[in-house]
Amino acid sequence: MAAVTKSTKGRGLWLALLLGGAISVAVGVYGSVHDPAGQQTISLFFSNTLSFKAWTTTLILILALYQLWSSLRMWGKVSWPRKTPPWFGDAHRLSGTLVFALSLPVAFHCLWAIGFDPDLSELRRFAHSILGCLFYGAFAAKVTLVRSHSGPSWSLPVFGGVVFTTLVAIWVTSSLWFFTNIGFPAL
Amino acid sequence: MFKSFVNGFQVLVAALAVVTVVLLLTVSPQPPPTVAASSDLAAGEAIFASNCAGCHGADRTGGVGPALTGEGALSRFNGPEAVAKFVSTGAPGSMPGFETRLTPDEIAAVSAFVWDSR
Repeated sequence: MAAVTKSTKGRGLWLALLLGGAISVAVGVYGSVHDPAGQQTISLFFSNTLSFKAWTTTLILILALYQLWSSLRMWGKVSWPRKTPPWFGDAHRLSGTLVFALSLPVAFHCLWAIGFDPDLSELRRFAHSILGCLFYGAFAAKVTLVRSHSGPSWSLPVFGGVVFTTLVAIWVTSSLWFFTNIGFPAL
Repeated sequence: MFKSFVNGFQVLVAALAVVTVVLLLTVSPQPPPTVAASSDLAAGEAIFASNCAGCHGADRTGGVGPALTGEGALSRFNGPEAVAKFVSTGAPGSMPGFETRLTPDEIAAVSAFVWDSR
């Protein structure tokens, strides 16, 4: 019985890895083969699309920090607050869903208007391209693990950690660079 | 109640993701405005807004691409013709070429605008 459970968990992990890998590769391939439009897309009330992206990514980072803290609390790794409200888990899911939703218009402009930059001499842009692909793969893998209730016990915090780390690195290579090199607050 | 809201929101976002993928695969760039002459700086500005501002910033102060205004901007070029040549061919890995998207007149117009307003 224990062997079956272990086998099921192994399959869950492989499924998550395969799905995540496929999505990362698909995003990278699209960014590489699509002819970059070089045009602005959504900007909402910001002056241009790049400002919109810089601030939206910053909002995503704040939500990701909430995700990190709430997951640590749910796993008992931090003890504040001492008692969590009944909606705590759903708030964690809502913030994760918001992260994904807000990332879509940002990624759309990255992929459609700019594309994947394979030039190693432009390290920031290259790293940002890789990280963007990695984020969607890691996110898909993590959601697969959560939804399927499969995978070894260590896999969820590892994939969650990869998603969070990737988001921080994406923010550093985009928004932080934008605010320090282009302007702040750059509305 | 809150759980139902989160569940519904997740379905909505999943649909949004599908729409995003469809848009990525189907949306074509807006056609550039037509210009009457290569010296038409106003037309060059309009072409810049729809084709270049996404990377170089609406005010040309840079973004994903380098700044096209201010000290040292465009110092590698010796005139609008050189800018036009670069705009046509692009640079592998850093800037797409525009010779298949803009006419020679349009490239000349946007290059003249960028050079004139550097």
